[in-house]
Amino acid sequence: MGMNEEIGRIAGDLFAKKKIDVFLGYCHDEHVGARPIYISSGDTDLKKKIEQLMFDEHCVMSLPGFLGRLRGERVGIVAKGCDIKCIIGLLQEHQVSRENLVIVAVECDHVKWKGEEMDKCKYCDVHKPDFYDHIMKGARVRDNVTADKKKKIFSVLEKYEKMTSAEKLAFWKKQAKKCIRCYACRQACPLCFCQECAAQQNVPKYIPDVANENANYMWLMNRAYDLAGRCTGCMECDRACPVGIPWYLLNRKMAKTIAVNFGFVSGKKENIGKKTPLSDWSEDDPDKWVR
Amino acid sequence: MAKRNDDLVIAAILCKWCSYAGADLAGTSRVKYPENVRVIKVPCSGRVSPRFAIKALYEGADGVLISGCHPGDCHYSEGNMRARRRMFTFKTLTEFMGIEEERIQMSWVSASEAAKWKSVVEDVLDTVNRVGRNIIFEDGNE
Repeated sequence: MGMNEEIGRIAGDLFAKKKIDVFLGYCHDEHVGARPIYISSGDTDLKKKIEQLMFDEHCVMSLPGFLGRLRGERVGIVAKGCDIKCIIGLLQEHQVSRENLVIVAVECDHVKWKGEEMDKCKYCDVHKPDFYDHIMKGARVRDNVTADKKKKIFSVLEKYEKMTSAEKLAFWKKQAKKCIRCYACRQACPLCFCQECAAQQNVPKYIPDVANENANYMWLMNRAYDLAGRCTGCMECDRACPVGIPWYLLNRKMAKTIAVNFGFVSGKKENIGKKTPLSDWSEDDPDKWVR
Repeated sequence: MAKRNDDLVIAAILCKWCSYAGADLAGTSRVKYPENVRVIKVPCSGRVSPRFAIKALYEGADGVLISGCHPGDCHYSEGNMRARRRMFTFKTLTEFMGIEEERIQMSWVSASEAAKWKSVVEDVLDTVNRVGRNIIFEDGNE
């Protein structure tokens, strides 16, 4: 039995046993290869929809982003290793409850976007996930990268860290200038679940609404900070951004800061039940810079 | 040392239990400290969101000083420790995005340390003076 049929069988089984109300998965799409599919227990064409379920290298979209809108429903979800990291993030912050969630994990070698392998897949340490209810074995799946290789994900930052302040500012102002404040990054992000976004908060107004260079620069900074220690590096914001702002640089910089100074890495199953690093503190935090 | 620019503005965000009282004590005991600081009173340094700092710079401050109680002395037990971790994280980000590290600073000043308050303010001013006026948000407002 292939992976696609196996996913369908499990989904059908879960519906038959009335264990879930909703199933989130992927189905074929003629334009981009794959798109998300939402199957509800009330669907009249339930069988047909279940048959459409599939998984291949085009299933790049992160589905946990939908979980926030399905609060209170029992959800079955097809999740790659990187999606499971996001689910762990949501569980850690009590946004979804484990009892209402059936994780159908898939072993995934890599995913492609616009014909190219995503950058995150080169450093993927969850080709074979370790947190799931059901697992779909993949035919040809790479081994998880070692911790040393995983650290190389930060090597892309070196070039940007070496620049002078003026160069950095010029670079990021140039990126900010492109931004049109469509908030696609926020909508695509599985972990951006605030009811009221800081960017649209009115009293007090921190980030101006206008889409000029300075306001956008503040938006970039705010989003990167708000995801510090929470971003799992799924790179959905990079993919969603219509103007190509390198969000991954900011997110990786924050991940590096958190890992080096506070020893926290997001998306590990041990994290469930622990606090996120920025809602916690330690006496050993860097202190030299304080007067 | 280069002469200090007298037009520099430092937004000082002070916790009401320690640093604000310390600055107040400096005032009542006639300790002369530079008038470049604009004091903003907050209930605790743990109240300070990094957004305050970036907003202050956006509104034209040349530097931001966040000051709270010494570690272990927080009126709310741990607010200052949380602030320290947050501001440290935020500072690495602002540095990465091109804001000079001198612009955002933090200090511990207790309610009895009027003299320390004076020296902190002078130090902060000198450090900010090294990088000069804040021109981060000068262009790009159209």
